[in-house]
Amino acid sequence: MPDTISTSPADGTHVFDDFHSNSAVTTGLLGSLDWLMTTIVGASTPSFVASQNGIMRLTTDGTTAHGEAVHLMADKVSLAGGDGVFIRFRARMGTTLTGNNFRIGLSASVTATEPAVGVWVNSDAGVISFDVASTNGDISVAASGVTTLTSGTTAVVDTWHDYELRLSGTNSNGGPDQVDCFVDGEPAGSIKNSLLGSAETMEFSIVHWDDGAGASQVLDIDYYEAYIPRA
Amino acid sequence: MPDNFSSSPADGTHTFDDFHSNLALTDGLLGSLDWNRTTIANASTPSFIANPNGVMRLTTAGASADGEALHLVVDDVTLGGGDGIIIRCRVRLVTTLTGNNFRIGLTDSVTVTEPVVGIWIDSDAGLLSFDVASANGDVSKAVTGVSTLTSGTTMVLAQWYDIELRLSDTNTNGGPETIQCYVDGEFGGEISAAAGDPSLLGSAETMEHKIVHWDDGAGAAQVFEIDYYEVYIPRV
Repeated sequence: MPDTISTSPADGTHVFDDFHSNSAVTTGLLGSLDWLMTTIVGASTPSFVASQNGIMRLTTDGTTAHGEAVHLMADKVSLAGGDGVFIRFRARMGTTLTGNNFRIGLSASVTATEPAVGVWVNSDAGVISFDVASTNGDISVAASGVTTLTSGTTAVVDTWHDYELRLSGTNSNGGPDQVDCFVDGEPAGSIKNSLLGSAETMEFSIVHWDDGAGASQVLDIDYYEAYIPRA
Repeated sequence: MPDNFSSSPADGTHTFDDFHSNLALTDGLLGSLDWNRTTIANASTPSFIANPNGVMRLTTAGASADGEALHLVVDDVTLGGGDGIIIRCRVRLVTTLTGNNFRIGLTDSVTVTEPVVGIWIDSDAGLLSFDVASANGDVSKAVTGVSTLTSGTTMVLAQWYDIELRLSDTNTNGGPETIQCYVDGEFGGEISAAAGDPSLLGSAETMEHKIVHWDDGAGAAQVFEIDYYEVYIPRV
């Protein structure tokens, strides 16, 4: 996947946030994309971290099952098939891995419940997987064989990792057929024969929550980026 | 004209909205550019449509002469001459063509009244034209000869169209001299000295980014959808 993509909406939709805008943490004004914020039981605290490239931090309130969904375009994103769609981001989990969970990509859920529809990268206490969910069926694959992950599968605490999903082909439901996952540029697995339909709706989302530590879990995200070529 | 522009403001000003941001409909927060909204008689309803690439819909209130103007940078956009300026959009008219009108581009009007200053694409019930208005004189040209338009001139209902204005050269007032219009990549006409009628827009005349949509006869809830709006102005 080239890092340089067209700058024009005539060619495709390029949605990204490098979290280097004003420091508003209000719902509808968060980041340069004006992300919406939805609390998962108890609100996290968003903040911005000093860095060269802009970092947003989400810190949970210290209670298990609490967290925050940061999202855009509720139920207004669909994916037709074809090549060239990608979703990528750079993230690290601070403090602990235990109970430090995220789902980042396109999804239909703003809670800790797994989305019924979506394409996303998943962290379950740092164990990385990726998922394509659809009302036609759900496919999940564990990341494996990545040299920068512990045992090839698990994010390292306080370490940045680059995650990317590359979508290609067209399935029988009109949606993307294949989803390839890369972590730090290395292949981490592939889903073939995704069942996502072209009319199923999702939204851009960054969901982070604690499911067991009962501590103030920290997720740092350096950038979020999605590119959807115009059909 | 390349689809790809420099990503740096050091090279030029690239203003675009793909309508794939948050769902705010508030004046000053609409779309990723935070468009302002000005009602024409009775307000239209903006909404966003599920789509891979982001679509904004404007639906008029249902009476003739109702509509909405979306706009940015009031009276603060000027155009010098030179090459490389583009104004383009992808749009469709959904319900009916009758009375379903728009003006998209750079203009100084937020009403149904034709702008005194501006460069824009015009739909009069789907019949396309383009216009360069100035205190120095107004030049308008009908779009013709485009194979995807009915009779080469008129939009087809519910059909997406890519419409683009390409500006080049410098007129005696310091503004752009030549305006070429393309629809779906096909040449649709030209305002130029070579064609006998150059643009007279002056370099000090002010406009704003504009999407104006209104009904002028159907008395129905007219639906207009825009996939993207884009303007590129190279730095002089």
